[in-house]
Amino acid sequence: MSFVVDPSKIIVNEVPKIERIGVHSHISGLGLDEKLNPMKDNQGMVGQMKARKAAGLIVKMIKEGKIAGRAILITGPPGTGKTALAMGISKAISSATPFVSMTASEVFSTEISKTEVLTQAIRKAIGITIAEKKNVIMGEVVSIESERPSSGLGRRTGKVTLKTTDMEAVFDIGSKMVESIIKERIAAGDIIRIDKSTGTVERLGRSSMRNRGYDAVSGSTNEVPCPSGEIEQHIEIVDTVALHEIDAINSRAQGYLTVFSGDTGEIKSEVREAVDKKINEWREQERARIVPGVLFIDEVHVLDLECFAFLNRAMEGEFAPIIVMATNKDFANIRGTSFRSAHGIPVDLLDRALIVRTNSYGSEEVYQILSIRARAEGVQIEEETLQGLCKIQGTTGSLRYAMQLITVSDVIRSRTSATTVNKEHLQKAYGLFMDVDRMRKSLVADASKFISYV
Amino acid sequence: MSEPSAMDLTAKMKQLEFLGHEVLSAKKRLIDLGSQKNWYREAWRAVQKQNEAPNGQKKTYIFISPRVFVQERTEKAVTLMKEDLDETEKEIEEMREELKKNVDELRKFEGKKDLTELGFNLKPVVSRFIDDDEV
Repeated sequence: MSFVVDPSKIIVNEVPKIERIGVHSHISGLGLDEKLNPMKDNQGMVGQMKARKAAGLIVKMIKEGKIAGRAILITGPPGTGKTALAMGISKAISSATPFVSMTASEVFSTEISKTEVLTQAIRKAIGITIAEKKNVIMGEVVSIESERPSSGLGRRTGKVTLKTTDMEAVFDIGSKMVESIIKERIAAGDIIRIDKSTGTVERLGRSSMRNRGYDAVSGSTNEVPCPSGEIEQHIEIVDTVALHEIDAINSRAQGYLTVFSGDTGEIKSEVREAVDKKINEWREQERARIVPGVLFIDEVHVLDLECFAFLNRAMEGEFAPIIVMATNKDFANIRGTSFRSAHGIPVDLLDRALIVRTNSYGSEEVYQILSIRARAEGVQIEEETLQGLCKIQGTTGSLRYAMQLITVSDVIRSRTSATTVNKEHLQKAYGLFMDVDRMRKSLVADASKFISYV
Repeated sequence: MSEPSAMDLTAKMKQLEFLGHEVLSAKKRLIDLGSQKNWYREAWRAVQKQNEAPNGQKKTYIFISPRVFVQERTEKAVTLMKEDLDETEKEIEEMREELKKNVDELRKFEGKKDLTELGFNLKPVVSRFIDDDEV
């Protein structure tokens, strides 16, 4: 037997994806294999080997549940892939692990206090896995009978005959259920499900075998095939809920609505304490499992001393997620104070964090990134032009500017009859939109023409 | 392909088929037990109603085999039917546990996440009971 596959016979189907093409949408993972070596499929990540390996190690530890309540700091000059790395981390850990992403400036809001914003973000990043078991009776209705006792003393009783493809049986039902069956206008041929624990009867649809052959049928009935297997089934459902959602549901009457609308307001600490206590009880009884997730805070230098102190304390807490921070500031004052510190972050938090450094990209890497972006944005660009774009990145020193020019040149191209972006389109784009360097130079040159209150 | 790995492959395929078969046969057995439970339940209900009705028959014939019927007092018949019903329910519970175990083994063999990882071995969070009055 030969297990060698003939690559020419592989058919690749491209499924069109309708999605907003964000700046980091080309990243689907960290591009590392089991041993943390770079894979052939780099999943959108280019270069930054050291930082990626560090991130890969962190993902491994997260998956094995070995680090909870730790902090990770990603630092580097602007445009070196910090947010991209965080994206890679989020896609690399499983879909079951909660990943909450926020920018530090979101902390400042007039409606809720800074510590409340942070508490909510932290609790959104902690998941609780719970299981639900229920006994249901599901089948196609063959016949329904109901009768009132002859003495007229009120309580109806009934019999409903249900069938599946494998069996048929008669069930005696009490008055409440008979009444709800009559109310729901359940008739022979309907597929119903009775939840034994709540006593509710639910209509799932009409059996497709009982199609009465009418041409114009109302849209409200949907056809469901006759169920197979046992009539009485034991269903187990497992779900992961964020701790914040549990807080919100318990915070006030109709609290569950706030989970969808987002305006939960300040949640009292008593509510949170009660929720924590209940979760701990469930954990001891093996009814719930905590899944600590990842909270990503971008531009973390925007936070002030209060927030940092809060984060320190929160990491020591009972249920603590992993906090990944990113910043591009070098030495700066901690916001709101005159203490200078590395990255504008207090020393005690820096001490608790694992620090990952990203470095500026080399020209080879820039070329690769630009071609990946061009592909992600669906832009056909000529080889020469791509090289030209790399040169632009070299002179302006801004990777982002070069990336922006890709789509701009494409739009310019679409107005001509060309099929691929060439030098002229790029030059036009370069001329129309200034980068930071040129803008600075022009400001200095034309200083007198601008309004200045100095 | 060298010989040993081809044999390995066959052994693995065999094991996979075996585990799959275990799961399917557990499911089939549950369906059969389910049918049986329904028969016992219907029989028990019928006898119970006869027993409770003031004009119901005092003695019941129980069908054992096509040529053998046994006559019993209705009250005794109720107890007998209930016993059969309870035993079948117990068998169903046991079969469900076995099905779960077989599915777990199959998943582990296939390299997928096993049931504990997914959280299926957690005890249920809410058990609700309804009163007879509410039924």
